[in-house]
Amino acid sequence: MYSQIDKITPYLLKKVIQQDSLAMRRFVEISERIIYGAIHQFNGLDQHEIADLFQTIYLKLFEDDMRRMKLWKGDSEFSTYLYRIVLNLVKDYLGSAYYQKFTRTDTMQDDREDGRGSNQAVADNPEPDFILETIEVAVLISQLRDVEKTIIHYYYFDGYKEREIAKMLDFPLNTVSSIKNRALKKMRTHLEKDRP
Amino acid sequence: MNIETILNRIRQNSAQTGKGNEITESDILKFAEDRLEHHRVSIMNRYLVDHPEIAEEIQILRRMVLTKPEMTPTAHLHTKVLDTLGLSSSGLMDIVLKKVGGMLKIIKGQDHAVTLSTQLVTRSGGDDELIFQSEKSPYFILCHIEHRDEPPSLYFSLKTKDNAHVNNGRFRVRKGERHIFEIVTDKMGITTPQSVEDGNYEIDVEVNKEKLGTINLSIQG
Repeated sequence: MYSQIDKITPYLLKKVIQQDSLAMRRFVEISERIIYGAIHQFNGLDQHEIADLFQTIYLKLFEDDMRRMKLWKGDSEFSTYLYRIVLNLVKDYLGSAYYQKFTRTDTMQDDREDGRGSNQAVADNPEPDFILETIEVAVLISQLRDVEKTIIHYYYFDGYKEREIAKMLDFPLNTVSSIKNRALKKMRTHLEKDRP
Repeated sequence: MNIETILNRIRQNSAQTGKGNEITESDILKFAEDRLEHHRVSIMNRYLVDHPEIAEEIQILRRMVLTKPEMTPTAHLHTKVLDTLGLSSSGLMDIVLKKVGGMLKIIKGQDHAVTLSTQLVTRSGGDDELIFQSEKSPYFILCHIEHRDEPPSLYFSLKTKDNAHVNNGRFRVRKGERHIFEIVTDKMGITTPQSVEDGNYEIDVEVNKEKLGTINLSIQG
């Protein structure tokens, strides 16, 4: 009866949480492409590691009386929730290196191994992504030197003027100005380097 | 992208919200999908600047949401996961029958059909009966469909490889989750017959509280 269901619906999830084995099986059939695709976004994992992570995610999803399945509140796509679980698991597995190993591409190549069929993943939104830009800037700020970070914070987020910052830090005004400009230049350079 | 434009935008948003607002897991998921409520976006922007490690995570999450990476695992891995979760296929037989001119034509399940010469347990053994057999060690499970009447009747028999009758074999017939009826093998290893209307049935087979598997039966008018 679940063969008619081709995506993860609240009804299917309800039956999975009730541990209906047919529903659980269908859930695996639908979700496995999402989970496997997400794991493949990280470089440097060999096939054994990918297989281990893949199985571990399902064990985690179904363990503790389906605790993780029950945690999904339904106010986001379930696929986003799955991506988040994959991300957390890969992060635990790779440690702090996970971020560097994430593939920053907008399309994925199909490298299936046994011809079971696969769709090309394509970016849905070719427009500039302001959310991503905000996040990228936040990440770039974190990579600045402490003094640069402090000045950027004071100036852009706390709304202080350069003169006020100079007074607070006991720096000459010119120094504050040049540190701020150097920090902006660094971030700009990083962004240009990361962009195709 | 102009760095200063973005920084100024974050500043403008932050000025309206200030610090100290809690960010929830739900906020993170919604933000990644660009569905976070406007007033929460301001809080999130500020939060990300203060928590770059979370910003890194959301950046990855956001890219996954945009690109929707999908890839089919190998059949081996698929099976391995189902095995690990105890969800391996329990299908004993897939039978599809179609009524054609007062007869039942086998559309699917021919490989399980038993010819008369090999029928070991039947009630009539005549042409009005179709028999399908599946093996699940140490049992042989036989599904009998008599079609001399309309609607046709269904019964089962169960025996061991040594041809011993198996009683107390339970056949739970359902349509999806709806229980239709249950029949149990007697000491001759045969159940009573039951009429079955057109439809798709799933029949769970159990012996001594051990589930042997499921027979999928479809009768099409």
